[in-house]
Amino acid sequence: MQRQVVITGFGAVTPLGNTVRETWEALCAGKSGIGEITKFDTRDFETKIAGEIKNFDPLSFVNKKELRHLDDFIIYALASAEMAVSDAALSINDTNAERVGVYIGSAIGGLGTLEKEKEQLLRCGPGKISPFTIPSVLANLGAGHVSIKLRAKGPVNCSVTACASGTCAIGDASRAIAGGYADVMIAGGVDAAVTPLCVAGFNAMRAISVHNAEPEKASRPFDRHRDGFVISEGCGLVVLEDLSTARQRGARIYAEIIGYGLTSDAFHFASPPPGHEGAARSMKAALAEAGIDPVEVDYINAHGTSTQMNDRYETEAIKAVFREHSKALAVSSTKSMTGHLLGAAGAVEAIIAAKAICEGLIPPTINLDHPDPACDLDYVPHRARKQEVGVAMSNTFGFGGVNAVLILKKLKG
Amino acid sequence: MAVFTCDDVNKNLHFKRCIITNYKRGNMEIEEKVIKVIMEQLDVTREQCVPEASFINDLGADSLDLMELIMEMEENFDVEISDEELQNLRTIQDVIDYIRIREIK
Repeated sequence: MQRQVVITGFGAVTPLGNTVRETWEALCAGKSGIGEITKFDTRDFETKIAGEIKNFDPLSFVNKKELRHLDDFIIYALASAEMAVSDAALSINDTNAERVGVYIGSAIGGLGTLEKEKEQLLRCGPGKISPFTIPSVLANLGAGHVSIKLRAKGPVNCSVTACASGTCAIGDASRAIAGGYADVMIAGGVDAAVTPLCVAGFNAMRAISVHNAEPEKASRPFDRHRDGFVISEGCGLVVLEDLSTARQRGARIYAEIIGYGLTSDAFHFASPPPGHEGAARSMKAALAEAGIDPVEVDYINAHGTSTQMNDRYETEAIKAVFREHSKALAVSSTKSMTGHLLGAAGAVEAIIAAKAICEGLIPPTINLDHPDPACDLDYVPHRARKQEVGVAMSNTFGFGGVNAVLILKKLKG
Repeated sequence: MAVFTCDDVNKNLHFKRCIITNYKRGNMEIEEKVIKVIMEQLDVTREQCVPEASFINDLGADSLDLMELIMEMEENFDVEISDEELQNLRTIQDVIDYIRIREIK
């Protein structure tokens, strides 16, 4: 990358809390954000659990009219953006607006709105559909509304790369800054898909956990008894800045983004190939861009979805890339606590990686009660670990065969 | 040949007064109901809802807000408003008048 890119602000709403601070504290305490689904009647559903946003007051961020017109995913993005910009103490005004951009990825956009309006269409006919249906469903409207609210007039985009959406947004935004196309980017991912169709659809694929009896134990990455991921909703956004812009205005710097790897499996739309060579190539590509030796990586925030295939193949890919060093690495899956935030996952996990660097604390993989012999790395089981983290990697892999990896580094001096 | 007693005339007058009062009350009810829908839909205060207030210029509505508002009016007053008619509904008074005429019909 040509210019150095740093993170100067965070904002998030997750099943663990409605701020980054609350989320981080819950993660370090090893708490689960998973519970029974309250958003719809799950009577006929195989899966009855999810990671829902709790006690969130949308009216702190939008007015009543916006609340009625906007899908939850857009409201989560607006809330996270407000928090991130305030955290960065960033002022967007006439002098810099055209140099501030917004990249917010989303896997499914306004699926909840789509489902409701389709019901309305069938029940009452086409004349009774809300004129706000389409602008609430389009996945790029998270980025669109944030850019409007912040009056950010630079590049605006939305990566739709399934569970890698948030990672791609941050990676692409870093490159927009590095390449000189913007000085500041608000970047990350969002999804609000705890909806009947989403749950039923993933159930039909046998991709999500049916461990309904103990919701907080349902997400069990790397555990022998894992039975699929847990759908969650939320948003994670970061403020990225060109290092000199950040220094000039005296911004607090959390971490530097030094590498981004993006590859395709070119294998299957939902299954990773055995050994997950695509994921391995993505990690290698990020390391190459960062220009660092694999032994410099201290911590990997794994994709670790809690599906049989992902956790096994991701482990194999990490071993293929890091060889001997894979035994010294700390690897944790925070999805054991957050669940799988879909398009927001990579962004929230990049924030967690940056926090690990800042705090010298690695959040654990909880529920790892019966380690799978095929998953034999140091997953930081059960409890957070105090450990200096100089370099952290964040992995995310999505349907369509997309593998996206970010590398973050502690900024010295 | 009809013969009217004073009593008949008084009754008749009373009847007419009742119609006028009901008509006025009906008007007030329509007006209040319209304003209630507008306050709800456009997230504006009662004070902003003066009869001459323009949806777009004074109450911050865009064209989609207007479409939604009209759908809500149709639902509440059991009327159907065409896109052509919508062009003439610019202020709160326009909507009140429109609905009043159709309610009487």
